[in-house]
Amino acid sequence: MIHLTIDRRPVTVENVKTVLDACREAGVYIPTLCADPDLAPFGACRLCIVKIEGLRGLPTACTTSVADGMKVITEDEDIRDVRTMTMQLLLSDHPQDCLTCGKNGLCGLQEVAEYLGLRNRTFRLLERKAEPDNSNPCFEINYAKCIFCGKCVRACAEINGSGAIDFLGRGFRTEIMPFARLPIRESICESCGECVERCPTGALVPRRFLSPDREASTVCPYCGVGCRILYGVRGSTIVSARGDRSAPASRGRLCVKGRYGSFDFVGNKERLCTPLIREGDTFREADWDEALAAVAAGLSRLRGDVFGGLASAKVTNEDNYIFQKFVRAAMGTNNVDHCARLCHASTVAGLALSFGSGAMTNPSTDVLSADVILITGSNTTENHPVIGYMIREAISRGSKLILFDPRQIPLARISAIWCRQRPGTDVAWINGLMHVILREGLHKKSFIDERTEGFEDVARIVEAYSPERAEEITGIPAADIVDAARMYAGAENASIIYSMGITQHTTGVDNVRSLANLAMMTGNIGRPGTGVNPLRGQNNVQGACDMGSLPNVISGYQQVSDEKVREKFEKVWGVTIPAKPGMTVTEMIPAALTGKIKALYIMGENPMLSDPDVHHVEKALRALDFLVVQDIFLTETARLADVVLPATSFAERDGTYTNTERRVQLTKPVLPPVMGVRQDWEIIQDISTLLGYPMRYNSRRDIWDEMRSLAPSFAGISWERLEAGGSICWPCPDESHPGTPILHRERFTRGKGHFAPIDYRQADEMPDTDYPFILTTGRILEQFHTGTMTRKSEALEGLEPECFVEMSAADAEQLGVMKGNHVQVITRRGAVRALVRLNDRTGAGTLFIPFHYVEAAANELTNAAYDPIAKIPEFKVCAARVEKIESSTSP
Amino acid sequence: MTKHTKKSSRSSSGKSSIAQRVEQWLRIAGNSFSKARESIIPLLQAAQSEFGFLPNEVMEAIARFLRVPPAQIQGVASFYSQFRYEAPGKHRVTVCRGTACHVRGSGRVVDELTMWLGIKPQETSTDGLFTLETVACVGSCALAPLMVVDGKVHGRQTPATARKTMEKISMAESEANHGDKEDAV
Repeated sequence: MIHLTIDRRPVTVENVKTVLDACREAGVYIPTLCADPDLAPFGACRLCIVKIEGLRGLPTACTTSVADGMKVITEDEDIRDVRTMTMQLLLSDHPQDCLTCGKNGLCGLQEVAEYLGLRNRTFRLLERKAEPDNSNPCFEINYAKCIFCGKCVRACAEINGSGAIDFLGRGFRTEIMPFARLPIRESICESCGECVERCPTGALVPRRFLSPDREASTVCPYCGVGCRILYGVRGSTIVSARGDRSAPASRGRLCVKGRYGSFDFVGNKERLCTPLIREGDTFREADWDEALAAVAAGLSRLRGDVFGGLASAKVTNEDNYIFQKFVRAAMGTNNVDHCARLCHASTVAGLALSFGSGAMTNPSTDVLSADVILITGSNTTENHPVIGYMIREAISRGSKLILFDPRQIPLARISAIWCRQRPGTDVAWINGLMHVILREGLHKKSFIDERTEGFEDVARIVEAYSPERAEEITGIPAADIVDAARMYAGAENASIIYSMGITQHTTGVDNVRSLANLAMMTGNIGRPGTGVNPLRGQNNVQGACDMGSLPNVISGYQQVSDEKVREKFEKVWGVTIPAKPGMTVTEMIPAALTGKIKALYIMGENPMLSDPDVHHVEKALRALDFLVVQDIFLTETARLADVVLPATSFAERDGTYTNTERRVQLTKPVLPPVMGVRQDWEIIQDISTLLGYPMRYNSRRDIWDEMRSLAPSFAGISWERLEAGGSICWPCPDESHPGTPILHRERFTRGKGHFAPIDYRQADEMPDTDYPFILTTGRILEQFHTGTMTRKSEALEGLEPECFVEMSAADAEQLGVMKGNHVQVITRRGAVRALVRLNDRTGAGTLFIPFHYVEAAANELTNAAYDPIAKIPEFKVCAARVEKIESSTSP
Repeated sequence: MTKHTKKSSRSSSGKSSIAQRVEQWLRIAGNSFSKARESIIPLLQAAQSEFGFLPNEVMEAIARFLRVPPAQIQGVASFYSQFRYEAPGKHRVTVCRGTACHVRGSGRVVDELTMWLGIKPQETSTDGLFTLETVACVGSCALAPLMVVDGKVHGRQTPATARKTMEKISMAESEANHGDKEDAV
């Protein structure tokens, strides 16, 4: 509590640092152009000057700490005179095209000019000559309109953390520029737009902007970070997007996909608006009754284990719950799975075995309290950008980063140690770290004794992994392995972050369990700033797993093979649930070719691009007797369907999503649904009823309530609590429970943490003389997954329109290709055409291709060999060769 | 003879070799600096005395070394007039523009040099031979107006004496050049 006087009125404020905050808290307006609640005080614009009794001159309110008993005057003639002069100077070189400026009506200068009542310009206009930079398809830069408040420079450094722009020169000649005066698009700028959102003038404006007439907040449809976006709506179109600062997961931050590319597809002309029924090689439009009847007729003959359902990590928890219930109760099989199989099945299986719970152990903001962060197989700043910002923030505050990645990803720049392992050798270096930790006695004996079991087995197996042997296998210098081990084990709190570079291997579960061993050995579990943290790739992939869209578990990870579990569900569902766990995606697809699977119901997934060896997938889908696809677009998969059912997009529905940190967030529709489409749960409910298993939910809330009555982890997360603005991390066993941001605090979910001894195994397909390169696949910042949504965004497609292959300069020279040439990348399964990109990211002998592009589908190349436990395909390693396309000389 | 013209320092072959030279230099020189932001200016100064100017490769290498964004290194460097971003000419011609020199006509000396060399102050001639600079005060006001050529002070200059010095250097250079060629033949 601070008591002070503002303009001779007594005021009491709380939780504020500066005089500016105190004035705002008290409802007193102070003009400012450089202050921002997310940025450190800067004091550049000199407009927030005030008088404070006892202080000389006119201090700036934004940089002066507030103190008890202060007497502040916010406006008098002196202050007004100085502010007016400051504004006159700012206007002396500011263009006068307000009516046609991109910030008209939202401009900070306009606001202050109005507040001061300016009626003329005192100084002759002296416009700076500065060419605009139109290189970025997301926003434009009009350097002439810059007032040097520095918000953009600070947002780039403090929020995004990449520091792509800075002040250049001084005095009247000062500019704000990327390094080497490059056009912004060629710089290291990540197009996140944190600068654009904060720019008070027309210097930085979104390329497309219309004033919205209302705003609504929902969860971003892309990755698993769970950022909330405030969408601006005008009529029935989304016209703007900005970060929602009240969101705990993202605190208002967004990336380029969320800000510029997450809403174009909602109103896209290609949206499916009417059900389609196959007629020969084409489709005909049908009404809903006819289409639903066709689905029911098709499925009624194909019940039981010949049926399979693919749920979706893109729809709500409620839609996933009802879908798996439909598969289990109405269709009588456990053959239900979804794309988590392709990204984090190894995590779900591996961490469940080691800890008892297959999810991120700590919240994402926890990296800020980690002394050491070990990241492996996660290009965080591109694939989970907002968590990437937090990692950069942590490093700028003094945390140390250890990075293990075959590619020199952007984080390598700021890592204390970066190790380039050969793809597919993760077990070897992790064992190498543990070898060093044990050899030097850096392990935490008390934690191991009290909280874990099986330690001796691991101690025995890692004996064989001296740093020298690890170097032989992984290619990482032994000295770096020693350094990394000492740094990780020596930290007070160390956090492990990983993603698909660890999971998408035939040794995926081994990799995950090895990381779990490493964390347990050093006692880095169950405290803030520690843990083993898999970053999930879709906005509701955690939720889809939680809800039981998996063949072996029903909602809340309850084993379907457990009789007690089945009994509990059978009582509420009123049917018998088959006891045998079902097939995974990666089993169902091949089973379609052998006739073991005859019908598939695919909701919001596109296996024709996302699954390994897509030639094989196409054959399998064509071999089915009956295929139903429920989606918002006629995807490559939907084109093969017998019936296509149009569903609502993320912006048109309510319901809950669970982000990567197990945080359940409620959303409300931003828009009414497009004419002709229906909610996913309504479609499933009607089909189920037609198939003789009636469902009678009135809303998603009904579905949620049934789910939480059956799954103890969610029992306490009531709709009311979520509606009251809360977001709760499961497990949350009752309604007074605050949720569990950090798992395994006192004890592991499974009781004792389990050490599993793991030996190194080679990847399934290794390079040889015919296919000498290791090909690894992944994602890029500007596109998402199969591109169904991002490639309909002008901004994102403008940034990354074409499939490329990264290779080392040495390899390129040997192949006789240059940057901008096209090449064929060929594996035993297929070939794709890609543009050569040389950016020092991949090492010699390694190629990287993103999998977003249908015309150059990386998954025509990948190996469908999978992990024996998790059944996840080896997307990260296969053998390839490169052929130059002779005719291509121009890019 | 190496010619540091604007062109050659930016050509692609020059780039890779300079990047290598910078890496080599920093591997050794880096040992005497802490990896902290306080090292930005000392490192920039050390680099400039090694390379004569700050090519982008130097600023990028320092940025990597200190783990800060290159734009920040460039921002710091650009605040100070001591740093240069183009390769300097073989001969550095500095004219004092301090008060005493100004009063005694250094402006006319600069004008003459500008005309004769075909470049403005702070620029380098396209043949890479001359860099013309002006400074505020050299501190030898008794010799005003003065000019410093390659570290040697020339006092009491007039446009004619300054030009004569340039002509001498230029002649010596073209003879040396001619000799090189004959040697080559």
